[in-house]
Amino acid sequence: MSTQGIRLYDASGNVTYDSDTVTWNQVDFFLVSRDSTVSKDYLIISGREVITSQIFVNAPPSDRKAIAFDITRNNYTITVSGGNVDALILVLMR
Amino acid sequence: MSYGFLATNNNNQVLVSSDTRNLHFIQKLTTPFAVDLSSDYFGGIRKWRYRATVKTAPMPFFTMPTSDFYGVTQITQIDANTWDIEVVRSGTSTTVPELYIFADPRGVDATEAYGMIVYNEDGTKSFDSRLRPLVAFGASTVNHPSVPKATSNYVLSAKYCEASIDSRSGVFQPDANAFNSYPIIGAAAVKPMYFFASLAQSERESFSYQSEDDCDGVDAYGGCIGFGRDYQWWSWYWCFYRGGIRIGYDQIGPIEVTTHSSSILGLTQTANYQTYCDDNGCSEQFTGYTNNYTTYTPVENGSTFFGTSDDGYWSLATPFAIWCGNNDNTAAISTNVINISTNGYVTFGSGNGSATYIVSAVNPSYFKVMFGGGDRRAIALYVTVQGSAPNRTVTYRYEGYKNYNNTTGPADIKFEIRCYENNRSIDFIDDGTNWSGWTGITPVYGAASSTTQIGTLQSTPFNLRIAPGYVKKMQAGWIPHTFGCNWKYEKDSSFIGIDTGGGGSTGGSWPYSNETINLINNAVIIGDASYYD
Repeated sequence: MSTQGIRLYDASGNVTYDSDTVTWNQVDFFLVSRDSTVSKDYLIISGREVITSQIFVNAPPSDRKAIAFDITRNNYTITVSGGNVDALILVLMR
Repeated sequence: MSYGFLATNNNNQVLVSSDTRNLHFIQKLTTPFAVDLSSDYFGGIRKWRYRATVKTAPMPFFTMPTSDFYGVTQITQIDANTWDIEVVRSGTSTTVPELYIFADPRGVDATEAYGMIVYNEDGTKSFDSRLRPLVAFGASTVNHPSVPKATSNYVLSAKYCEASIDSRSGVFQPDANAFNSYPIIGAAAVKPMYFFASLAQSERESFSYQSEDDCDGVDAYGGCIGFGRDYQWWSWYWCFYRGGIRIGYDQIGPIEVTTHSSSILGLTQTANYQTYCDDNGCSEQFTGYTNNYTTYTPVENGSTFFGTSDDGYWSLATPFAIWCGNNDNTAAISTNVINISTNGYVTFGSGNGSATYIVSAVNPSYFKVMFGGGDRRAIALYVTVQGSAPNRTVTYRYEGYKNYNNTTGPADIKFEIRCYENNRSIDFIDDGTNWSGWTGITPVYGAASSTTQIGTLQSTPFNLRIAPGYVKKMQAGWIPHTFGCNWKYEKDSSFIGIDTGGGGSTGGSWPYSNETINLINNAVIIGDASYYD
């Protein structure tokens, strides 16, 4: 372990969390309905590395097109638009 | 933030924050709840449903126990605490992936008394050390090629979609090379698990047409006298694909000649080669010379080995694995021993020093590169390791006499074998002299007991590069997901009288229509499942 950081243990003495290990934080995981546009502000992501993903939720039969949402980031604002299927939007940050 | 909890590392990356929520381990699912589709056609399709119990939306990670493409195609909420996760995979293996379900800490209750909890300002948990937080080893994005199947034979039955699934299978099976490759991330994970939501979708369609004239009257001179009928059939066969990921191997050979300078004796001219690959393998074509004055620096220091000078060999441990490839992945060899004959050739798998094997495809029966081969006498072998892992090179410099009868005087043949750790390639560099016994073309033979010559090293202008083997990659390719057929029939006309048409016609096209959507950079996140077993 480096000289600084936090390490957390369970009752058995096992390490449950070690700040030496970089992890991605879930900023949000939210549902966006099809054909809608959603913008959300997360001040904490300003200037930080962000990864987004999406999972189709309750998708229509697979013989129809399921157009994914376009997810854009502008500083601390995440905007989701353009999808025709309900989707869970995942925003990760570190 | 003005109050709360924030832990960052030396790179100012957020580890724990009361403004966000860490992902925590919820449960491990070892078997699917249901098998929605299992077909060995189209190269294999598997569609499974896993059922997770969690209070908030699950983030599923999956293992990839086979070399097929995997993806999570959708999540369905069954009730307040129940979620179904659809996982698709190409290939025919019966092995199923394991799913590791993560969610924010509101999704599960902890019972242990010890630990640390961080709360958001709304009073809900953002971090709970009693649960097992997600440790992501790496994250990247991938994209898919636009075409899962480039060309195909559209000859499928036009009548009522009658083509058997067997005949459709080859028409729609994704091309073997329909994938994009990316560097491996999270290589340190003991048991890698992947989060990848399949978004890319593609559709291919095959169209077939057929017409027939039936005569109920009298056939006469190709026509019909009396009562007759004209029929037409149209069938549209289709297949939908979804994007997936896999861990695969990119072929970097068997012979890959790239720009490389041979200037051991001052030659700085560089030959350019372009490697062309198709379904039958790869070949390189010489495209001309450029003078870039890149200097190849010979390696003349390092450890020195003498040993037997005539009809012997050095068997030396390599500082890192050297990969040698055949024409398929399965034949690739990873070895930590290189064998260099005093007669100038290199073998992997075992050593040999005989002069009689120099031009034989059969013996010695292991992967061998006959570069430098001749009935020679060695003076010494110099071995030098340069650089730091994982970007080391090891160079073996051979010096000797062209003719084994020579025993005195300076070396009149020198060559180097330089192995690269980072891309697992091997360079063979000669000194540009006219070697006795050098035929100008050096065969490279395949793996153990193989008599198949897998390539030749070009002799002009003595700058040779062989990159035999395969590099492990993250690959984004296609998984057949759904298939079917639509058709149309028309009894075109009936007639009484004389019809001079007769016969019929067939036709079709491939692809009749095709479309690929959602070609966007899509996240892949890698964790270590061994943390949660």
